[in-house]
Amino acid sequence: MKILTLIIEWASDRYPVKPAWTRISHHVRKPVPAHTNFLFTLGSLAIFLFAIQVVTGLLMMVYYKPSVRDAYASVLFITEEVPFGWLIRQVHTWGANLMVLVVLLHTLKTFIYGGYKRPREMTWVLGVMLFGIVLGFGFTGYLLPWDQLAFWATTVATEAPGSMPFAGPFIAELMRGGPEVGEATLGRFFVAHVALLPIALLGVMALHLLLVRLQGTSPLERTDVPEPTSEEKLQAGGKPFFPHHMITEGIAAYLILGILLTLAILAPFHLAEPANPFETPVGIKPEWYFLPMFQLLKYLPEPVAVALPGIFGLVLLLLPFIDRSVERHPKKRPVAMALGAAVLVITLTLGILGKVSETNLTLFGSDYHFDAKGIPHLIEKDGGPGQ
Amino acid sequence: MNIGLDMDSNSTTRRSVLDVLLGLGSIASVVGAISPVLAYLSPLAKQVSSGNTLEDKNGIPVSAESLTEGSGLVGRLGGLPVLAIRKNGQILGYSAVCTHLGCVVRWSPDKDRIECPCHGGQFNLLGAVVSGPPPEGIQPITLRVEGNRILRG
Amino acid sequence: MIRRLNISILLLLGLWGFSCEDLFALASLEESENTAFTASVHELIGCESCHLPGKPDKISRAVLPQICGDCHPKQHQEFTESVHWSGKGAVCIDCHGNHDIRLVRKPESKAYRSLVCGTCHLGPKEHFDLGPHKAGMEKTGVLACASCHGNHSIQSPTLEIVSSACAGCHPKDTPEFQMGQEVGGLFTGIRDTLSLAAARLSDLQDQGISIRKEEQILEDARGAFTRARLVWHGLDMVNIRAEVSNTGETTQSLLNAISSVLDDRRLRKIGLVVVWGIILANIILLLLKKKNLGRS
Repeated sequence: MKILTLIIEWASDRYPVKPAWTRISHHVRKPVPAHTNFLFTLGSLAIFLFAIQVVTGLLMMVYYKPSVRDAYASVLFITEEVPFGWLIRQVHTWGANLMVLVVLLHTLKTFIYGGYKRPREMTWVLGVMLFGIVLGFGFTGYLLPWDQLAFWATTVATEAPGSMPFAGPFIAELMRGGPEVGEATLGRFFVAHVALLPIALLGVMALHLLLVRLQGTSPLERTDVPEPTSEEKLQAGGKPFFPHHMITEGIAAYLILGILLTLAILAPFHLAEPANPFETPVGIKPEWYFLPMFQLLKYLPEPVAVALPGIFGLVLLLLPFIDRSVERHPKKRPVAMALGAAVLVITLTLGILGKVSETNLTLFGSDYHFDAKGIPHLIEKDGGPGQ
Repeated sequence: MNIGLDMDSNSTTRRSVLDVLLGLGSIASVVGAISPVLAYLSPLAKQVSSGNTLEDKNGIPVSAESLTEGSGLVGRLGGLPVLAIRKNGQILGYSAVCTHLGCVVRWSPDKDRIECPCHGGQFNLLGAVVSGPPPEGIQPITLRVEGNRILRG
Repeated sequence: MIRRLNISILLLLGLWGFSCEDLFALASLEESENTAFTASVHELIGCESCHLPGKPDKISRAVLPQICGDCHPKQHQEFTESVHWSGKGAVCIDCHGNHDIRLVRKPESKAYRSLVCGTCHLGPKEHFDLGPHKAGMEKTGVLACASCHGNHSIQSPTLEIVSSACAGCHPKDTPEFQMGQEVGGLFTGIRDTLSLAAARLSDLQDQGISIRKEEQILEDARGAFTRARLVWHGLDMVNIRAEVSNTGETTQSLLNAISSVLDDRRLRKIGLVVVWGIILANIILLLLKKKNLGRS
């Protein structure tokens, strides 16, 4: 440890190391509110998962080839030939799904605890942007293996904006790099996924974290009441961020790591057939986080069904400016809670409808075929398909 | 860090033991995480090239007829660059990797020498260094013709 | 009934020297084919027995067996039990000819000694021509392919069917019969191992395991088995043993690959348990640390 002391002394002679350290140390030991529970580790879990995505993503970039000719084969190579390649790929794929889920839950927690209200409006705005960026990661990354699922899900997803009036077709062509999904699409999706979105995410995330650390976790009191001081928080039972809350975050990180590895090993994703632009598989669907939006397209005329999620996103972004009520505590905001619950139920229902649509299921002893809109039709026992 | 048995303050000792264990646990996690990553990045088992035929860069066997008297060409034999020269009807072979810094040598008919384009090293038809910085000669390789192919002799 | 009446009428007409051109205003045979028809066994029944009135042109392959079967019911019955049935395989005219049908026991017949099978089944023919059966069967004048495979009611050539055919010509104590038994034994071995391997592979697939590379090895093994069955027809023990051994090796490598897939999966699960061990240990230590901090 002597060498460490030497280095610190050397640096202290030149830079304000000790004052900076004292300041950081003091700041980091400030207490979190007493109501901080496991839900408040979701933010750091998102960072942890992102770090895992970066590492596994970089590793795959060593072998992945972003061209129509080689993409599929390179992914096969990673999963079949490279030592632990299968693990890296599965962790990355499952990690992506978990990251979207964690960010969703984190947003939900913030909504419930009123953390988006004054003076934390910008933190929320940045957060919604982060959510959008994470969805962008999922969207662009999905295409890269270039299998049937990737190709056709992307085709469907780039068609949707194309139905918007005025700028629609232009946006669709910009995304695809041409009239249809192909080499140009793969190229730009790859650049977005490994360079543009990571830069955007890091930038927005840095700002978001800065604001969180500057303002601290929001209290449960009304916004027109002065926020509790550190002493008051400690009195109320709040624990220091370091080391207490960070230990909780460490435990949560270990848990999510365990879940991630379990999923990677016991429930691996398989590559579908190589992409075939001339054959659309039956019942092509996007991943679960786009499913509700996708299902909506089946009920409403296209421009409406595409605009609706856009409008919803805008409302979400501007929530702190739309909902200016002073209450933060969930029990004191019945309207907000009801609206939130309604949105959740609608989205969940759309998602479930999307999942069962165009599949056959056996329920209570009878066989049902669910059509594209998710409506079940009884399959007759005699003479039906597959009998 | 005091991990001795300090009977005066049990809680301190317990905390220190805990810290040590935590440290070990963290190291175990880090090692567990890094090991697959290192294995992933390690060089892959080299594909064994059943190389007894002189091939061009596309893996197609070089045609013996195309090697005319007095000319030379560099091809791949067993995955490595090999120089073949036709002299007096015979095909002479050499390792084409210059012993200086690894560039690929070539046959120069005008100078009647094997030369390296990087730093001007020159070798004679025995493979010995006659000029330039290479520290030692290039290894001759016995080649023979079978049909229209050039094989390791 | 009506067709039998037609045939009788035509027989009478034919006896009076009427030819197809006389009786059929529309599509008629070319000169050479007409000559062949008048030399064939069907000369006396004329055109309309098969080319029904009102449908004078080509008979579709799907309908043809029924037409022949009206007069040859036994053969038709046997044919419907065969693998050539369902219009995808051979129909009557492919082996017997159409307008030039002769008695099968005559050398002029297309189906003479059933050698006609080699027109489509080129692989077996190639090896058969190199083997002792060709000359031997020619000398005794027995049927060639049909001796072992049957003719109209041909089934997929399983070991059971083919092995039982040896005794038809070779008494049980002869070296030829013994050789057949030996070869049969070899083939039973590789066939059963191959089925076992295919079944295990299918199990893996049902479990949701990706078996891309292993499927390719299965295809290789099946290809080797097919080659072995073709080589069989030449009755060259050296070749047969070589192909059988090749099939055996490929099948064995498939079984090894399957084992290694299962081993990998087990290893990964063990790895997962170890990982959870480290994770849980760390979580417990962190919880203890937190409790300890609370105390100070």
